[in-house]
Amino acid sequence: MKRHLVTGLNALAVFAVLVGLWQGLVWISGIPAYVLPGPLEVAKAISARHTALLVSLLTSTSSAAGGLALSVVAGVGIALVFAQWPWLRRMLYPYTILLQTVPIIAITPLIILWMGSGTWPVTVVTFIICLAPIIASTTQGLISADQNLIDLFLMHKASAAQVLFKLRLPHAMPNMFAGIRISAGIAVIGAITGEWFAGSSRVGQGGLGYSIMYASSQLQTAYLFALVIAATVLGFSFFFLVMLVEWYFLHDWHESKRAPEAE
Amino acid sequence: MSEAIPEIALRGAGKRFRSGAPVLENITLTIEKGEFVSVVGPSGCGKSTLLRLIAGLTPLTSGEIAVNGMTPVNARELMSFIFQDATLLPWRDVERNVGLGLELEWATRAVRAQKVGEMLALVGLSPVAKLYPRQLSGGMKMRVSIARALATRPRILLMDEPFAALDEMTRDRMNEELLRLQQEHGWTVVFVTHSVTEAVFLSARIVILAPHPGHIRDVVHVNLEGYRTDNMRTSGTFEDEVSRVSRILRGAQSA
Repeated sequence: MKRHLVTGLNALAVFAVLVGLWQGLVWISGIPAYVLPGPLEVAKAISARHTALLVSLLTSTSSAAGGLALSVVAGVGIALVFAQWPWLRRMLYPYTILLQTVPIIAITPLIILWMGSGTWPVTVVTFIICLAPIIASTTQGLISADQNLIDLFLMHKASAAQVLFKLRLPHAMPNMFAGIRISAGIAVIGAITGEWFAGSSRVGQGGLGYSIMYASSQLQTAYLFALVIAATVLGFSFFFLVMLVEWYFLHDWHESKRAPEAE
Repeated sequence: MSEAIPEIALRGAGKRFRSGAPVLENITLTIEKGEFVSVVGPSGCGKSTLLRLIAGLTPLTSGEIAVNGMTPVNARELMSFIFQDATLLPWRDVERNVGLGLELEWATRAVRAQKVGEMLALVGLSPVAKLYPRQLSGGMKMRVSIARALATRPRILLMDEPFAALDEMTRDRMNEELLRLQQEHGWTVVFVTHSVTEAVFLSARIVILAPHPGHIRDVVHVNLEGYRTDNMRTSGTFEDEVSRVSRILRGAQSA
């Protein structure tokens, strides 16, 4: 416990020093605030426009969370189908790689063209970029169950569904969570990319992506910094939340979650 | 009930891989109900494949196998398979691992709880019922595996080097317990091992396989009288039997 506290305090100290250096640099160099605002400017921008900032943050959060949730459901579902029918996997798996390699920036305008603006296309863009890592890692976990365990299930006349849900799926949980963790990180990037193109037509109503574009076009650099901080915090929170859920499901049995003191 | 049906009968059983390479050839062997038969042989002689054939986990390519007069796949509910590693589900605690077979066979919760309780008591694991596999020693894991295999009340145990990964003391103790349980319950056991000492200690008959391709080199009757105990291990007769079987096995290896 005490060690955690010391680690936390050290991190805070590093943060304070960096912020101090940044403010010092701005003061000494005389760089104009629209090029590089100091931390004080950024803090002022946050307090002055905290409502708009919060709305943007919440808009992005709901799109990113919605897209991520959909991709978990669809990705695990597709992986289950791939595990059950290997011929389907061989036929379709290459396309999931395609899903990952297609530049999202390029297809986002298409999606908006088809779906119009608003939060739905943003959710869809997030969904698309989150999907591939979840399919890939979950499939990997599902198909790598130990042959002896499969034989054991067969000796007890297990049905295909029993093998899938009582053996393959629990076995794949660590892989699945590794995929979701990757997707949680990029979900926020997906939402911001989507909003960049489709956020909203009205100021203050768009998500972080829209507001970033707007602030940068207006040279509101201090607010731009505030938005970047908000986006970073959001991405980190997603990642952390998934870690928490992962811990909840795996800590009883999985080696990766064994506390070092327990040895 | 017909006395004529042997528990396990192999007639000219053979197995080739898809590549065409033969693994086992012309295996003819009859195992009676309640018999304890060990299978020994150099590695690569198809010991495990033989066991998997009896279990119906891999298809025959020639000959036939009947388990209680049925095909292996149809006779699965009479059999339990015990693997070399304990093959426990790491996400289930001991209790739920032992109950796995019953669960897969749709036993009710009440039946499951009762059987699991009995089995845990039988192998002396009641105090660790709530622990997870990673918290258990190798010997305890193997006990869980055995308890799981016994929970569905099999008549036949197919054991693939079940104690190979254990230290010698644990292995000796597990051997005695297995023998005691087998004699109490009258199971038919086919036991694959690479340890001649273990085979001699446990079995009434030892099947010696030779490789390239796997075939039966010899079937040896173990001449040991009466109930086998730890003391017996140091007796002269026991050592004589071990060296007799070892000699035959060496012959199989050089062939």
